[in-house]
Amino acid sequence: MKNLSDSELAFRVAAYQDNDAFLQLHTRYFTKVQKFLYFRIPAKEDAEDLANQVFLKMWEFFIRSTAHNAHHPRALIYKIARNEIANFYRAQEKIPDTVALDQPGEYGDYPDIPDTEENPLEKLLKEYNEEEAIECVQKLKEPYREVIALRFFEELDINEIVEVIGKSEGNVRVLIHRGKQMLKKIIQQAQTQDFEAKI
Amino acid sequence: MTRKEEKNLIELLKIAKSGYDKKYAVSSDITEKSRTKIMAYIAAHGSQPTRPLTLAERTRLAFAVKIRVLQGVLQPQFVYAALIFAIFAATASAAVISRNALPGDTLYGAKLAAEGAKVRFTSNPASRAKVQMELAGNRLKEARAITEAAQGQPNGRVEEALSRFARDVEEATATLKQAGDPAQVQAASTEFSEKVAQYRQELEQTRQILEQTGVSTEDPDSAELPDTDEDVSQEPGGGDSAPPSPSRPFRVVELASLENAEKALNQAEEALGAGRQESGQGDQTGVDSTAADSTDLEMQVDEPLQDGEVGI
Repeated sequence: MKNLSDSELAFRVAAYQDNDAFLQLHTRYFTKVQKFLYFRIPAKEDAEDLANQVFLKMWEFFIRSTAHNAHHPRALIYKIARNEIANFYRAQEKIPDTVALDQPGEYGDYPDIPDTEENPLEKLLKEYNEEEAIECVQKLKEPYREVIALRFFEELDINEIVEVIGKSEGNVRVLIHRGKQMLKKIIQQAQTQDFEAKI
Repeated sequence: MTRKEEKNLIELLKIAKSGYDKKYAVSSDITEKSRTKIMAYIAAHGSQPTRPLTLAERTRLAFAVKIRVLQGVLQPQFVYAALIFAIFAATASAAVISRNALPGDTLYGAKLAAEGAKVRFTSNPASRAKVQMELAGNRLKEARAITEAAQGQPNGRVEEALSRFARDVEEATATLKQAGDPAQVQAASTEFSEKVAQYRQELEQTRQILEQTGVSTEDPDSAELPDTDEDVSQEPGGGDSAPPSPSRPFRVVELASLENAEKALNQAEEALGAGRQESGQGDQTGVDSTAADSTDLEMQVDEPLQDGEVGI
């Protein structure tokens, strides 16, 4: 069972309700999904509840006939996780900090700070440790934070991200590119604020 | 963003990932609790124990997984493009392979079909007539190749090639008559004349090969094979050549097909001459010379046959 691919395991669950195959999927992906939920949901207990919900809903999905056609089982798991996060915030009447992509000046909170010879980006980046690096990513607005986390933390392919968030490949690539640009501005602004604080 | 900045950002994200894995690490007891919950739930909601799959089930599984992988890898547009490419490649291969096909070969039909397509895709009548005349030359080459390869063995393939040649020349002549533009007709007529002269020579060469490998009786209508015991020193070409061995097979010369081919060329030449008269391009001298040419032909027909010649 350990040597079977995700597609084979998913097929066994969908076709034969194979409990060992499903538990093998759980073993492979529970920690990843849990980490993703910890990153997106502020409270740890809520994230743990949601992780269980994800797998229960995945079981329900797999034993329905349409589950045979799931191209990427891994993408399906993250898609369910994403839906659970949306339901969680909707239930709490909380909306994550988002950006309207079609509005001009979407980077309005992060003005352009030109690189100078005294303060190049490269130098800035070398000063960052792991904790500060995660904080920078956490400061990103949705949907950039989500796609950056899926691409660079969860290491999903572009095709899988397409399936998770339901956008085209072109849109996904643009989101990733803009997310990196926003990240750069966040870093520069943080450095400027530190510099001013020292003064 | 410059490439260096992008590269540095990627490095930052790698650092962030390392921190992400540490900061949000999941403890094993959380994992175990979750597993227990999940097992209880799925047991209550229709799970089945793992069992060995039957051959049919394994086949179904392998097939379904392969299909799913293919669906993920092959986008419809790639499949269509690959299919179209395969069709083009197969057509091109058949065209190349059939280029040297001769009457009676398996791919000869494909060769004729490719040539027919070439004619059909030429819309201008004058150009189409030129293409038809050019393709008629292929029939002559085929007849020549067959006669050279046959080595005296009789077969109907020479006749087939020459019959097609005559038909192609007739069709080319008819097509040229449909052309309307005088300038194009003139250009096509010039090429036609050159081709007619060339094909006459090639027909003559083919006739000579046939005579060398076959028998030419004094009675051209006779198709009987000569008795091998007879003295063959009276064979056309004189007694200078060494007499063939009695066991060498003789081939019946397909005179009728040669005659039809020459007749078709004559008709093409007449049509060209008539066309020149109609367009007024031929002067009196030209008309007279054309008449003289036809008179010469008649004289040639009336002249007694020389040694080695076969009457029309």
